[in-house]
Amino acid sequence: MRPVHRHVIGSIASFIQLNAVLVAHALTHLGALRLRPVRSVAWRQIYFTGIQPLLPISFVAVAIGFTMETQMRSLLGSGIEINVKMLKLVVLREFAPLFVAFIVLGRSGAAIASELAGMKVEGEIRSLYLLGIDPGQYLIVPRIIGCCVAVPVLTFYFQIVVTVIGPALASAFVEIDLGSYYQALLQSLTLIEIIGSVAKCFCFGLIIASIACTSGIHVPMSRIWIPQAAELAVMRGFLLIPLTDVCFGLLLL
Amino acid sequence: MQNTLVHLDSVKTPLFVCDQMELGEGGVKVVSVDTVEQGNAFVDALMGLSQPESGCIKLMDQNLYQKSETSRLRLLAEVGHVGGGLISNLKVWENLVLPASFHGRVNEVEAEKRLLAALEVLDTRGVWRDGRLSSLPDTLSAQALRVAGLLRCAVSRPKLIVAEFLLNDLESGPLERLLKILQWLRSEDPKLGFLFVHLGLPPSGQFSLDKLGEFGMVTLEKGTHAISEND
Repeated sequence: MRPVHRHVIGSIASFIQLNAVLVAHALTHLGALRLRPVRSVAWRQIYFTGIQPLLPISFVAVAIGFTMETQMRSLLGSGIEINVKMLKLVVLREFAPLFVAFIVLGRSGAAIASELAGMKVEGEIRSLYLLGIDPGQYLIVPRIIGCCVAVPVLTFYFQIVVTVIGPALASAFVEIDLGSYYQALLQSLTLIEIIGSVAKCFCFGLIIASIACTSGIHVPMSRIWIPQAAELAVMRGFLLIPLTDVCFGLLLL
Repeated sequence: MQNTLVHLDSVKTPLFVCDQMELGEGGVKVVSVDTVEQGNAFVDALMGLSQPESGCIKLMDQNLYQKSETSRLRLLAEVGHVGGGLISNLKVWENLVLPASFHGRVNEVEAEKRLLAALEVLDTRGVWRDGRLSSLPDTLSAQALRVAGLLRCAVSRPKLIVAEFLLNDLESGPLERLLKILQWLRSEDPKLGFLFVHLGLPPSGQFSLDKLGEFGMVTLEKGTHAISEND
């Protein structure tokens, strides 16, 4: 019998290998986006992942912006510089990408995994192959593109709402000089920080799409595995996304 | 010169054994199988999804298993597969034009023309044009799904149609309608080859496949898996 630690290491290695193969296949077949049906699936994925959750994300962003602003004022006082630093560090750099990634993972990641698992169990992936359609090009490429585009865009939107609308609402309850506040915030942002944030969000999108696709495609041929695929995708994402966040944190030190 | 569409020679797999089989342009062949699994295994081996233990399979004179994934898929674009169901998250209309549009064989206007031409002949009651085309596949009956598979071939115009259990478990009315569509496809392209994978014996009498031309039949033997189990 294999020792437990070898079994765990073997499983992790095979999981990483599956994801690497899938991402490599998708990235080397980006030309498939020239095909109308693939483009159409990609647009649908962008709409589903990036546009449909705008309303709940806006609501949460406003609530967080408002709460952060009022709480920071009561804890740190009314100094603009310290408030801007805190907002940038906690909300913009860390919280916004993570929060949006978790929303996308729970919503689109789970949906992609169960959709692909259902397609596999129902024989639709086999059908695609028999029609000469590469399932990697038709199913995986658009989903990876959809998530890689949607997560950075949603995060940017989330950051804008938190920093612009949150303080504006909070100013009705606590004293904030909005003009100086926005000016200080804009001046404190550096290009490296912006690039780092976009790169991190892009990686989160790639991770969500790839684990959702592998969890969906590699299910055994039985219906009971369809919900399990969604659960697996979400749990794997919950582990991998913070791990990636730690790596980015160390890189940007 | 007549091209060979399908050629099998001494093929052995765990589920079936096929000594010899050949299908040329314009030919009709029925492969009679014992079980659904055997039929699926035959189609998988024929189309490059599962390599046989031994023997040679050629599709359009080319050995699929010696080709790269990309060239194999390009070759499969010439084949119309019927019987695998439709993609559930696409509307019926999108399903029908998917292979042709994915392989860049036709643009949307041409695809629409081909489909309307087929419906003109086959959809005399207008049920497809009035609703089925814009619905999702899960609203279609099993019989309508088979018709959809054939309509998809009418749009993509393949050189060979591989029909998995297309004519199994049908009453006379639906069987007659499917035969009418098959005849229409044949009249549109006399070089079109038909390979029917059928559970048991094919329909006979007034619903015989003779209507498509003289047809040959091959009965698959049990595969190596069954032989080793019996031992």
